[in-house]
Amino acid sequence: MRRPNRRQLPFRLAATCLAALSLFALLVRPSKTIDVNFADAVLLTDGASLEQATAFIDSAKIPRVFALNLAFKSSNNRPSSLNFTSIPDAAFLRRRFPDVRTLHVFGNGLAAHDLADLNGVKLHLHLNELPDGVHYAPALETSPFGKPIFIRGLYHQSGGKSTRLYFSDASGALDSLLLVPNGNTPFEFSTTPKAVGRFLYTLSARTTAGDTTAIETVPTVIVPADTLSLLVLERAPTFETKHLKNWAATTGNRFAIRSVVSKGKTATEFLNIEKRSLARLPVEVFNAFDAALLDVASLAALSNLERDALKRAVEAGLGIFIMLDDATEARRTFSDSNFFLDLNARQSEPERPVKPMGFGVSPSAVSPIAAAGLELKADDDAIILVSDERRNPLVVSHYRGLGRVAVGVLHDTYRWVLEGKTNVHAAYWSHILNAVARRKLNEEDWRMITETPTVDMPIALNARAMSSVPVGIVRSGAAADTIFLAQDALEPTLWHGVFWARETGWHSISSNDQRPTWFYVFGKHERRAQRAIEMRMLTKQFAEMQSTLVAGDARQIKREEPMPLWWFFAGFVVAAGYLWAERKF
Amino acid sequence: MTTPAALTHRCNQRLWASLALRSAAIALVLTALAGWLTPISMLTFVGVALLGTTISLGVIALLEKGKAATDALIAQHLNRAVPELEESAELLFAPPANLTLLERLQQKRITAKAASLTLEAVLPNPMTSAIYFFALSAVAACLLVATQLLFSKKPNGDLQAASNPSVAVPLPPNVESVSVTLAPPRYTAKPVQTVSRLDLSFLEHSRASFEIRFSTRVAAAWLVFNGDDTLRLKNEKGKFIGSKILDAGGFYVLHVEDEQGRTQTSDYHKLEMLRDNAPTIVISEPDQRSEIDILKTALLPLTATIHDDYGIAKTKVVAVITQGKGENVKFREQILSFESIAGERYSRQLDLKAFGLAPGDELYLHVEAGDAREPKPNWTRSETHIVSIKDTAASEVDFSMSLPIAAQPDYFRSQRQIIIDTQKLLREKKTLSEKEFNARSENIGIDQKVLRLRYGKFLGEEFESAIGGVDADEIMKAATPKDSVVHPLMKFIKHVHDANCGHDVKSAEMADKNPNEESVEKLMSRFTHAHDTEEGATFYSDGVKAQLKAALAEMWEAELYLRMHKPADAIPFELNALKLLKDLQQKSRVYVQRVGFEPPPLKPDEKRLSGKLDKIQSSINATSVVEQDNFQTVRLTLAAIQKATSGGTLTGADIQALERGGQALGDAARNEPTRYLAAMRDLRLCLNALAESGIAPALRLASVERALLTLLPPAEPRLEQTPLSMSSVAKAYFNSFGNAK
Repeated sequence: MRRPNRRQLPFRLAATCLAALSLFALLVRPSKTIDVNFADAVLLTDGASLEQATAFIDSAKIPRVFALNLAFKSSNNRPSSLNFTSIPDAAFLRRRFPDVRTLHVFGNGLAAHDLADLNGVKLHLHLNELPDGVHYAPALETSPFGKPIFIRGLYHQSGGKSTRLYFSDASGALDSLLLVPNGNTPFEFSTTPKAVGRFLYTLSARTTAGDTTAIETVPTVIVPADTLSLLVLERAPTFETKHLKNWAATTGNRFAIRSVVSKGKTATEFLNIEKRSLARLPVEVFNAFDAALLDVASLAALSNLERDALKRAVEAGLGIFIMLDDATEARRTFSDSNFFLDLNARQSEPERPVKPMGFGVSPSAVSPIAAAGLELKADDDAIILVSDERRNPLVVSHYRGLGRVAVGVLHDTYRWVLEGKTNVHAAYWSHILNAVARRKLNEEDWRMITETPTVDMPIALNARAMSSVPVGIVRSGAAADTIFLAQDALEPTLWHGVFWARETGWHSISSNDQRPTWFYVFGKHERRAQRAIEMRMLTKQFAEMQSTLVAGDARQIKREEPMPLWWFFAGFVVAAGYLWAERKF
Repeated sequence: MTTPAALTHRCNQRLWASLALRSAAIALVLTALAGWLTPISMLTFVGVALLGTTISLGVIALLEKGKAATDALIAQHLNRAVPELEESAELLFAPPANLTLLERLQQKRITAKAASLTLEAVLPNPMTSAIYFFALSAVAACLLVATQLLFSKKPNGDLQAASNPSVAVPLPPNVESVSVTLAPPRYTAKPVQTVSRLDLSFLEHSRASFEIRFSTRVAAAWLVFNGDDTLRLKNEKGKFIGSKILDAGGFYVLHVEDEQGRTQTSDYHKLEMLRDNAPTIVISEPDQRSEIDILKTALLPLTATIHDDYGIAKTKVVAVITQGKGENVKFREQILSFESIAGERYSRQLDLKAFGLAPGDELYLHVEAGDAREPKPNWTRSETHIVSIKDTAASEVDFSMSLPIAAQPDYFRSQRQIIIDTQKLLREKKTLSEKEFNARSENIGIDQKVLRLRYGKFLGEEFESAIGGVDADEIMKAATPKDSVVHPLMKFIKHVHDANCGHDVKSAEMADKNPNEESVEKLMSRFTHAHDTEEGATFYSDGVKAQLKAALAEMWEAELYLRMHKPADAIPFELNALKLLKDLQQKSRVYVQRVGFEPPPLKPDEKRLSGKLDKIQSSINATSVVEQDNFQTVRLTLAAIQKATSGGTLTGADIQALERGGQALGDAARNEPTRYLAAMRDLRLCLNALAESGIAPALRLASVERALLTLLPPAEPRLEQTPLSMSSVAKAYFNSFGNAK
């Protein structure tokens, strides 16, 4: 067929060729060869954004994509474009794909046990933004009965909504806090549980519109308090001792009180404890008590032998509390007086009224009482137990071996009892004596190393056992598991182990079922933000440690890549269209 | 067939019926809409709908008035719609008498034709569309009412709603019916209430009559109130009846014994008692503290508002009259009643003279009221209101009362005020006339003089007739220009007399008698040694006296210039006087150091231990003083619950602890049934479940735990041994740390 317009002939010929070529290409489907780096791989972890990962994979031409954990697969709709391999853990990756040298990590990062398996792999991080929610809250709060618990933590909020964080127990909200919009809010809630046992407190964030944005559980264990044995030596019977014993002995604490009533005559009183002779005080007598309360005159009246025994008892753990009356007492010297009265004190006006602070009672509830005419100074190694409102120390304690020696200038605290403020008196004495008294050395001590124990995840724990080889028996409900532990290489009393919790909730661990240690295992849906933060931090640290690694030999592999077909289709359409239209003109 | 006239009538009937239906539809939708916005009762709904129908019918009737069917219109329509009538439908409606022959023939023809036709069907029927309209609006109204019922919350708060607990407690299985008749005490005038449930909410001292029928044969049934008060029910023809006056809240249980001797116990049922509150009294008149002038008004109105839940039975006004002064005060009590009662407003006029009250006496009033509560009424006493009778005799002595200058309560000006006045006068000099300026300057001068005399008193000058040589009379003359009234301050400077009081004349006469008396005294004073001079009669030291004198001299100079109408010259002297006076005031403040008894220091170590002590023995005492924990049962129960929730197996001791916890909850429920009864029920269910299957439902245990925790007191700080976990390395470290010291 001849077309009239000869001038268009070259174009027609070109268009015909193009159409024929395009048609041929559509049928043959050509491909090109590219170089691919097989040492690089992408690792998708929990919370990874697929759009971000796909964009990266396309631009960096990384052929291998792994997705950690099956949870990832189920939580995301798998788009057809992204072809990835699911792996159960990092160890699997190392075993099956040993040639992977560099990992591009997307999502919240990896847990400690996965990171431990990735030694020798360089990590490039493309981690998520900080998630909203409770970034930190204690995984377990343990407190003796009668002591307030303090729940401290951090909440992160990225939106600008007005939100309140509520702290509640089973009966309802106890306290609340208005959260800072777009930022971190540190929080501290406090309450005194009324009974011994295990309790779950709740932290819930609610917007003013009433939407709950986060809800977390704070497990708390309240253990029964162990009572103390106290030895009181005084140069004359005092109201201070009388009211102290009236309060403390009724709650089961044991007292032995020796007061001088006249020359060579003493009145000795034993409360909740068996009679024993206090005429002479060898080290065995002191070792039978947890704390001793003395005045300087009684201390000076002890024989050198007795004072030496007291010194040895303190070094072995006994706590002593010395009440000072005035500055002359502070300067009194006797053998070992430096051990007991290593004071940096100076004379002040006599009997000044002070308002003691720092023992857990709000200053408004404390009424002023008289302090001895003595101003204590805190050395570098002193611990200030009680101070006045100008932060001048009133009771300070020093370490002496395993024990502690505390010195105080308040001797009128019984006035609080007379005023009816028994709680202030109780708080003062429990604060001082609990800090000073002999510590109870645990034969066995179990600790969770994993910050947030979670179900179906390894929970690292260690045990400290003084005598035997510990074998942990974990009980949850009726089920029991046994954990065998590995001894620490350096510290023979320390043992390490790992426990995989199968159930959420309370678990107890012990080796002999005597006084088990309780811990709480969170569900997968709980403490998500906190786990994400932990993983982010660990992954970042690990990545920094691995950043010094050299990438090694990058294994280049040639790979066929199909060319996109729609270009050829478009060429065909344009060419055919031209040929069709050209005849019309 | 229908006659043509009947057709018109029929047509109009249909029109009006359709209009009525349409208006009813409109009213229904509007009423439903209103009900949707604000909830209304069914009766109101029907009423409003009917009213709306009438109104909209009236409105529509007015609008559609011209659309009623007439013969001509019907004929026109028939001509258009029925060709068989041959355009002659008008003839059907016309009376034959008025027609021509031809018309009559045609009429006859078409009448015959019309007979075979059903003309009624041809007429327009507005009813069809009206019915559709009505149906549509009825559906809309139903939807509105349904959404309102579904989404609105019923307000609760009244007694009836409160007594219906959200969780209905089931009756024991063999109870067929329950009827409790609650008869409130008669004085409350509340109706007798009959309820068919066992959870009761009643007024104090109501009589409850129980009537219970059982589906099975029952040997005996009894109710146990608050765990200790038993009411046996009598069997009367198959129903068990009994009655009791309920005078305490709490809970109760129904026990049923069947013929085999097996006892069945019901759930705990609530007894919620509403107390009869004591009356409240507010006295609105007189004020809590008021003063009245008995010479002006002897009647005192007393008004009080007394409120009570079920009415006031008795009231009385108690008036305590106090008379006398100092130690000689007498009290008298009178009991009165109210004169008029209007609702809660009680009032009475008190005749103070009838009480025998005199100026200076006081009246203490309070009101007492008792309600009709039986057997013992609630009795309330109001606050005491004090009415004091103004002592007019005492007030006449009061100098300030007789001063007509209300704006200046001080009866003499201070030196500072005099300075301020002088400065003000100087500032206003330009605006004042000379006469006025002079008069004001003069007046300030008088004020200055008054002040000077006042301070002169401190020097004993009060009897000196003229300090600085000017006589008071002279001042008086100057201050009272011509015939005007006496300057108000004159009263203070000088004894002012009424024109006819008499002794003014007398003293003038005496002055006339001895013209030389004064000069003789003057003459004598030069040669005699005078004791008791006015100056020496004060307590001031010489320094103070000298300074005061200097101040007075300055005042005198100031006064001089003021009275010479030269206030500008007076100012320096006034300022000097002020400075001296302030200086004096500062000097008069005396500081005395407090002197106390300082005991010599005790030396107990020396003194106390110096006696003979051979026969004194050292004492050794040993006692056990551990205090019993009042909440031990609650704590043990809590421990058992925690054991159960953490999957432990409960021993017999644990179950016993749970049962004891139930008793503790029962004691608490006696006082607060609404708070603890649910937990008690849950605990019982748990115990039953434990007995049957050995497993307690965790949700119910949680509710029991919550209730038990509220029973516990707040934890107090206590001594405790802190646990410590320490490695051998740390132990060694601490030991060496101590040794290093």
